[in-house]
Amino acid sequence: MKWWNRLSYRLTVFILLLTVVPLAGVGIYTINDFHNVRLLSIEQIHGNMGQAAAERIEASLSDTIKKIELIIESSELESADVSDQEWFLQMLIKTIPHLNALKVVTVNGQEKVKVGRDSVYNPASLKQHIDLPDFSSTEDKKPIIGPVYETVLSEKIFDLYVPMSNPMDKQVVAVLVAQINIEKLLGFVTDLRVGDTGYVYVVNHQGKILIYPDHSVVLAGENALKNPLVKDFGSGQKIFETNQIYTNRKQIQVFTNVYEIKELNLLVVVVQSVDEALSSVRQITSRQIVTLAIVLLVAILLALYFIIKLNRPLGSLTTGAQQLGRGDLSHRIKVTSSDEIGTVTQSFNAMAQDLESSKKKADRLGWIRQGMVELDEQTRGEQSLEQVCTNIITFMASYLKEQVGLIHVNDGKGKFIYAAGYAFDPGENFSNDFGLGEGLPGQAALERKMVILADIPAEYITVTSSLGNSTPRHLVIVPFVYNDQVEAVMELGSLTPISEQQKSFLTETADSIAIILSAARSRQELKTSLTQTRQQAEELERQQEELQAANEEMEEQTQQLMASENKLKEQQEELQAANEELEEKTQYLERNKKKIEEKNSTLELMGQDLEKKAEDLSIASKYKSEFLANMSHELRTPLNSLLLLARLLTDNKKGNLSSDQVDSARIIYNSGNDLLALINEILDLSKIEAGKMQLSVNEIPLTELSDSLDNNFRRLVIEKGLSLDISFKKDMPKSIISDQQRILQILKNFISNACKFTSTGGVSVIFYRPDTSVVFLRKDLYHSNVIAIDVRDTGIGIPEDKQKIIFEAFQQVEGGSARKFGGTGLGLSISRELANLLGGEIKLKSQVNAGSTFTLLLPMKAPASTQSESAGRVEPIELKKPILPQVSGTAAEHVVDHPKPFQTDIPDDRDGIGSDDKTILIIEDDADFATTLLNFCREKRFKGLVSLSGEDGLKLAQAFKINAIILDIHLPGIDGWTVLESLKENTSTRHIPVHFMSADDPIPEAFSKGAMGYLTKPVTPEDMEKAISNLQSMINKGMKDLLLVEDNTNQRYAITKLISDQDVVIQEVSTGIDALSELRKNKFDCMILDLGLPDMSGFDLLKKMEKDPLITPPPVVVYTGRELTLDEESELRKYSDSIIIKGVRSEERLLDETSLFLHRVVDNMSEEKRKMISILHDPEQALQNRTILVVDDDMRNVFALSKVLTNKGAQILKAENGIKALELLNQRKGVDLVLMDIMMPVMDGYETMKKIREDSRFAKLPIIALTAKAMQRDKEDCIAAGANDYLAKPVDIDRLLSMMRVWLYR
Amino acid sequence: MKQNEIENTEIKLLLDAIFLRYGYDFRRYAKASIRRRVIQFMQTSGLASISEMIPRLIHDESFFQQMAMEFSITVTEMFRDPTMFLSLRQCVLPLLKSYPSFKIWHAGCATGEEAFSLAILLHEEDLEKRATLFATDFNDQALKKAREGILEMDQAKLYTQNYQLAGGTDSFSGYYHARYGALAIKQSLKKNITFANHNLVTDHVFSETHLILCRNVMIYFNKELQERVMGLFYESLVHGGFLCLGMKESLLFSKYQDKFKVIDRKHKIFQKTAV
Repeated sequence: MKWWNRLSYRLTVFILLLTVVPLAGVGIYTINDFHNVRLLSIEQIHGNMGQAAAERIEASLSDTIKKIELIIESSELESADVSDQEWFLQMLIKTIPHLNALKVVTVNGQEKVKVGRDSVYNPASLKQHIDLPDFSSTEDKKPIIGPVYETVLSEKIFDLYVPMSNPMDKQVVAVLVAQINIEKLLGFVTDLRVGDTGYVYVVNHQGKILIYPDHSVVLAGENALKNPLVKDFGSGQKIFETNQIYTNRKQIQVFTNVYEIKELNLLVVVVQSVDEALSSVRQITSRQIVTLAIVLLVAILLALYFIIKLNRPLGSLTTGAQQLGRGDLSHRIKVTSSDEIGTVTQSFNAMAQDLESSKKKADRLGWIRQGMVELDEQTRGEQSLEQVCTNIITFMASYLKEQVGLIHVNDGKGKFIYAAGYAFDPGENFSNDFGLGEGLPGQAALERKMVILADIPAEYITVTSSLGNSTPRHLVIVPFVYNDQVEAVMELGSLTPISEQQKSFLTETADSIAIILSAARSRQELKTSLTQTRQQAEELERQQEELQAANEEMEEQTQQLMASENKLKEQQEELQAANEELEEKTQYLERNKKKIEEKNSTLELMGQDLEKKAEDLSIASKYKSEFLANMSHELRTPLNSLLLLARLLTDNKKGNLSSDQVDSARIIYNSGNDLLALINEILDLSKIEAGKMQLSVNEIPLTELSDSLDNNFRRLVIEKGLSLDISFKKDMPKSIISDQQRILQILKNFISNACKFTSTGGVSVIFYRPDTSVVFLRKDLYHSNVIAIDVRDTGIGIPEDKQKIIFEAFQQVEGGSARKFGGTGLGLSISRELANLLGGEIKLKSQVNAGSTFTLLLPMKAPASTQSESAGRVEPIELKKPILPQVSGTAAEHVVDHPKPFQTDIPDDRDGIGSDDKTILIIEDDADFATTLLNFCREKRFKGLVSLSGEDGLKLAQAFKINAIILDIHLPGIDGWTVLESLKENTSTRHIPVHFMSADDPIPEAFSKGAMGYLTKPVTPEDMEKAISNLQSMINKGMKDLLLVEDNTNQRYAITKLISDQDVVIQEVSTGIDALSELRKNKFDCMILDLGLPDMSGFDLLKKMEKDPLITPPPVVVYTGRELTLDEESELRKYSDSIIIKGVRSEERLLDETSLFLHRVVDNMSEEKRKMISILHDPEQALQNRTILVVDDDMRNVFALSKVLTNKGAQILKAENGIKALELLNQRKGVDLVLMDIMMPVMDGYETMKKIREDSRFAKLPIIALTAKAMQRDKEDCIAAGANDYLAKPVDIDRLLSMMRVWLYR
Repeated sequence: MKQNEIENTEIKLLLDAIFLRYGYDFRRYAKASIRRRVIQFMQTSGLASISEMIPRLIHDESFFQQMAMEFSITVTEMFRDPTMFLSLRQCVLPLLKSYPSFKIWHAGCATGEEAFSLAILLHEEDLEKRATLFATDFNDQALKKAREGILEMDQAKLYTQNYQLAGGTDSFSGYYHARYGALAIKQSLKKNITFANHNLVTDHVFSETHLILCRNVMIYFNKELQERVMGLFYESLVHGGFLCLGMKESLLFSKYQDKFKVIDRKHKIFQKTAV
């Protein structure tokens, strides 16, 4: 509230106004009046004073004039003589004190007489002229007063002119001038006083002060123009104002009034100081002010009193009203007075009381209403029945401040089931449900009435809190009835009795709760049925989806079928079209043919002659080739024995030959070799020409090629005193696909030529990629697919004109004349042909005496030489048949001619073969060579059998237990091929390894037909050695041997029968001891083991096998009738990859698994397994003696890991699930690392890791999780569960090892 | 661009988004089927276009979970195709009997009904001690349900009938407790089954197994994915192990066709043969 709005302030102001304003008004008015009156009186006083002064002045002046006129008249002065005049004048001066001087002046202004007070002026000093006033105009000829002036003595003087007229004519004859001292005339004025300070002075018309109380002022000649009235007078204005105020020369404010003296033109000025003039007024004014102040003070005091008197009760009323407003209805104001305010306070109190009582009522109603609203809020929305009940009981109990409560809901079948409770602790006797009429609640439900119980027994129900228990003594049971059905019964218990208000609340809410419950129940029912419907719909939809997907799958399959059908149709159509086209072509051809035939018939006739000649020629050529080809056999066979024996003699193993003899033998051997080389070259050339040369195309690493050259020629070249340099240029491929033997043959030829024709310097072989400057003669060669091999020498070189012919057969540079360098001269021809065969070509660059460079250009991939191959493949067999008889006929003649011993003549070992002996059968028609071979075999501790024909060989192979066969191809009777076929056809002999030794070149068919080796005659002892050792290892390894360990004879028989139709030799034993000894003796490819043996258990047997240094355990198939525990299985899996439990269908598996092991070859192993094998046996520092726990249920995985890790020097513990792992960790100390699979039965990896980490001992134990799961989240899960690292399956062993190195690093 | 092509592009983007965000790869599911599922889900989620689902999928993981649920079809029942179970009993289990212990992998087990059926089969053939049964699915929700092993009561009749047709030797009622309108599979059956999350699209082989059941799963995959899954199975199976596909599925056009021999053509039971 602004202060001016406050009543108290207003009242104060009001009182003040009421008292002070009139008082002040009256005062001011009075003062003003008084002031005016005072002014009037001043004016009057001053006027009177002025007037009095003026009158006195006039009186004294006129008195003077009268005296003068009297003198004049009486003396007739005008006519008197001068002395009389002087006398009269002197008399006059003496009588009138204020006369200063008197003179008589003639009308024309000449002074006649002049008399002073004390002197008479002599005529000399009289003035000739004096200005006189003009009297002529004046009627009455009255004296004129002149102006006031100052004498030299500073006397204020004025002249009075009195005319003197002739009494006759009344003409003015002279003028009497009287000098009057005004101060003397008006001296009384200075004595006039007005009040204390007032004084009177006189001024003339110029304002000059004539008379002033202070005489000096007059003497100073001051004027009084400061006085405005004087100023006005001076300027000739009429003066009306009175009481003018001005500041006088003493700087005092004064009042002034004037009175004018007209005759003298003087002004009487009355002055009085304002202070004095108005002193009475001032006095009255100050008195009035004092009065006013007193009145003001009284008024203020009065106002304060009223303010206090009014404000206090009003204030308490205000606070009272505010308290009421705040809701404190109990607030009352103390009644202190019986006045109106007292009454107001009383009625205020009465009003507050009324308000209080009505509010209490409203509160109660509001409480109930709010309760209902809150209840409504609690139960609003889609809540389940249980939720609703919980909300209701929670709300009711807390709203009614009950300590405990529970609610039972009608289940629709007349039973009330406990639904929700509030702070309810079901005691021992608590029953979940009750029926109508059962117990108190039941009764309440039956009666549909609220039941209120007081002082119930102490154990009835308890209220429990963590601080203790107490028993509510009051119980109220409320049934909720809706639609004539009891929906639920609520029980509430409290420590205090239920109030009326609570009761009415319960009654009020019971109905609505019933409705809510009923609604909730029906909603629940609705929801249940809705969910059901929706589930059914979803299910239906899913099924539909599946059906659709399945249909689509079928459709796709059908479409694919249709597509392939369409494709077939198209192909058929294409075929048909092609057929038609062919037919057309055939027809066209036929037409052409006819024409050609016609032409041909003529040509034929002409050609027949030619043909005949050509035929003769070709037959001759063929015979030549055939002959040569066959000759090779015939030539080589004797050479074979010759060379072999000569070599053996040279070796002089028995030491019984003299050095001469040895030398001779060496010469025989060397000559034989030369002969052989010659024959070979001739044969090669003829073979190539006859198209019989075969290529064996393979991948050849170039390094192998260079190594081979190095091995073959380094010694030779160095022996000749030359150097050999083999080098590779950049960008060479690692390998090429070609025929190594032929390439070497060409290069050998080049190099031996180079050696031959070089005496100083060296030979260099360079492998490189030809640059673009090289021009190929063959069209199928490109720079990108060709490598080049240079053979350079520093020899004699080849003249240009000879460079071409050296490639021709039987040509040499030097012709026949001076054959300094031996040789057949076939080498380069053969090389050229071979190069051509390999798809390449040969280039030559040479200068005489500057060396030669032979370049072999080869495609990186030799062309498939179909022509030569097919020729090679077919001809040896087909061509031989018609021709062989002839040749073999001659050969047979040879045989007959030669004193060759018959087959039995060669004493072999057929009578002395023991059961343990390994036997080799030699089928060879050359008895000498056969004998040599036999000796070789014997040296190798084989027993040997010799047969000189294929037929005998086959018989021997049947009759004896043969371990290997050495077979010649050219045999009398059936040839080697047929023998091989027969051997392979027969089951009893098909497993025997066969090694070919023939004068023919090897052909690929040999191996596909079952030969294991091929040697070309002539053979060297080294070749023989190699062949025999090959056979030896074949004998030792090639057989499939199976060890069957089974004590039951019938079972053994059955298994043998099951497996025996395979290529398997089955060794049967019935005891463990036998099995061990058998295993020590032989190597088996597979072992079938029954666990139940009479002498030892299968487990023991396996363990002993493992430990026995003499035994390399074969793969074991455990075949048992026993059920195995997991531990047993795990134990067995260490030794065996396959465990079969005997049963109805187990034989199938036995056969399957056994054949699997029998045919498994190391080469067939996957890259990964090979790798694993290769990293085996490589103990590693990081894993050495570390204990690794592998937790995985997958045996395959566990064993693979253990094998690798064990070989790295680690110790492996295994657990197949999490529980086992935890047990192991607890039992065994010093586990360094855990490999943890995730997906395991019983306890999975995540849980296991969590459990491990819970144990503080294993907080830092490195765990690597192995899981098939691939997603980032899975990895995170692993880490979160406690894994240190993570590796996805399938496990990359290298990664695992490096990971383990990291985690095991200390 | 035609509407159809736009839709295809949208689906492709959506599946890419799912893969990049969550690692679930639905891109190699059969096109028509996935299209139906996507559109269905779009409609139930009240969105106007497939593209609109992408931002929600990326930012709202629960939305994706819902969608993944929608993508995985969980139609199954106890002894579904009862004759197939009969065939298993007659042709496969006797061979499995020759292993001291063996593992069965039921891939795509959904809510586990068929896994329970297998468990019953193993129990009746007295093989439950030797067998380890893995039942896997990529749908965690379904797995959760499977672990609970609670079935609808109203299916009980059908299941009993199927059980009998599958050559059940006992009474089906012995394998469950019926209460509160539901069937609870007996604990002893459940404990032999390891339910685990495994996604055939992304995950690898986790164990060496002797019998794999994967029925009516590959019909939702495209050829490429079918081949991958076949590869997983081939790798997981031991030599001579068995593979059992859905009645509508086939090895006909698979490159693994030659590596399995047919045991039961009608019920699509195959055996891995030696190479």
